[in-house]
Amino acid sequence: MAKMVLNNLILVFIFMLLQAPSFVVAYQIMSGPSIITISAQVNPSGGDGGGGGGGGTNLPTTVNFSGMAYPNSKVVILNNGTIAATTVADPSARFSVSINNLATNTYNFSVYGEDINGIKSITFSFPVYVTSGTTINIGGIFLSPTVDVDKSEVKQGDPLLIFGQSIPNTSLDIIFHSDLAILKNTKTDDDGLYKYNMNTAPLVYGSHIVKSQTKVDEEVMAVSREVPFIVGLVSKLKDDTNICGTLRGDLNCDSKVNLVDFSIMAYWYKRINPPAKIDLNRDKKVTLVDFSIMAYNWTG
Amino acid sequence: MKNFNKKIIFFIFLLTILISRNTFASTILLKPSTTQISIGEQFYVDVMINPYGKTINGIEGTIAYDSAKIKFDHPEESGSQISLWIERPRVNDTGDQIEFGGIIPNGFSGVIDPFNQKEKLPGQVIRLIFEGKESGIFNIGTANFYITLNDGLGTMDKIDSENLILKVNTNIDKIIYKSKNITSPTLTAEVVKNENLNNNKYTLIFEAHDEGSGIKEIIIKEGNRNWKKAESPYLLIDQSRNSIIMLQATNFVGQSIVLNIERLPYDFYKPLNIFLLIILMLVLYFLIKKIYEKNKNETI
Repeated sequence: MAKMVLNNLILVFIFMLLQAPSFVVAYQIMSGPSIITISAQVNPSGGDGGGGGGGGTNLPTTVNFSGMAYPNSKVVILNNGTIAATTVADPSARFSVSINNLATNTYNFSVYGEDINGIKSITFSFPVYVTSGTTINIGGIFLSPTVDVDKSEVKQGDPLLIFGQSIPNTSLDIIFHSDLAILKNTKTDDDGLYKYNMNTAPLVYGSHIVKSQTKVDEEVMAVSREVPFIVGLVSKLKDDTNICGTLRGDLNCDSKVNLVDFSIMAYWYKRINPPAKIDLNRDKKVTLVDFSIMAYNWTG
Repeated sequence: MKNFNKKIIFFIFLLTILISRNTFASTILLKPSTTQISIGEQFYVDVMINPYGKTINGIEGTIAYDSAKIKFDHPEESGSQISLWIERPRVNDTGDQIEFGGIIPNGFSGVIDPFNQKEKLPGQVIRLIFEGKESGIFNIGTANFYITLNDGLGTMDKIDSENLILKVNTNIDKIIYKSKNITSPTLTAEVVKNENLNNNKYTLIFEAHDEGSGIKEIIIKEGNRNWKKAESPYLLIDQSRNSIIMLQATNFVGQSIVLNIERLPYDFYKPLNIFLLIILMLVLYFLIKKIYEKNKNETI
């Protein structure tokens, strides 16, 4: 009897484990920047639907993107790393944009926003199989709030200004990662802007990071990038003229990470003594790791 | 009882293998177009990646093959998730390995099929086209594969290896591989100057794409010089930028696109030009003076 139970148990577990990848993937889709919905329809003029795909290119093929960014902010859609479309969100932060005339293929679409101060959101990617003659709607995109600080180093006890942008009139958490995480709450105004003056007395000397997260109906919708700062003996205002320092991988200091920066890094690939600016992980060589850091910060 | 213990040990072993394979490691898959190949027949092997819920942004790897049984014809990059190649696929010096590396800007976590969103699909890294050469059983397998996570730090992640066993039959059948999609190539280019690229000399950077058969060749012509093969970033021979640059990308079905990059507008106010102008004016002055004096003497 025990033998039979064990045999059945083994079979059940093997079956469950083989199903594991699909479970993990489903979770990832739902735990994105928000509940992103992807729907598709075959256009009346034709198309074959499904995963197969014909090669027809004359059938209307559209991918629609919609969601929330920041009021009157720029939203950029990349297709395989190249800017495919830009739009401006309306005063309530809603945006929608379409890309047309696509052939049957797999496209790696990415979306990011740029706030009123030029600070970029985290980029979200959607590698989608597009079949000619279909319309695909990618909705519910909720861009992460932006965040920055006014000082690169703050004297312990001095105030540190944390600011950024998100959707208008919403609750926002600011999280400081020190020895213990410190959480503060604020609200965005009608323009989606927020400011918070942090008393740095409770923060220990050393390096810290701060990030913000937007909450709608008590649910965390999106988390920002992490911004570093130092608690020290003097206060130093952040040097906004040093634009190269704000975006890792922006090697020619034009506030973009694109083909030009990639070409500069590619020139140093496997060469000895690369300049410190190119060697992003400071290991004295340009490898896949440096390109990976660049790819993460890619703006097109 | 002894048998029962053995089963438990086997079960734990199986559990460990399956958990490590499905939950932690991304997997490379090799998908051949056929398993039985004729001598002279071209076939392809799709190198696919399944990140199993992780988001990756860099791949570097080697595919090893038996060069006695098959020969490598060409790579097809068109369906690849990699949009920027650090190293385009090429055969190494020993002639039995294909090396390549590239990045996926903003990351890749599996392809979404909008008509079947149950789980994300593997994405194509590269399609490798081979030709049967000599009858017999042979292997094609992965070697030295690395991937990086899209985490902003370039974290290296482990990847499971894959091996294929295929057979070249004794029959001879000349079958040429043809790409299903026929599209026109696209080409973008820009001349840049940067202190970290070719010692601040004029350098042409370019990117060619073809969604169908892929790019076969890119050639360049500077002024009256001959056409020659080019790779980005390309150090321009004519650093004066007085030559018209022509760049041509050709796909594997023979379709081409040519891009003309205009020379720099003539800089009249360059110090050298002003100096030459002064010399010219002085020469003219003395010439006119001499003619005037000659005429004057003749009159007297």
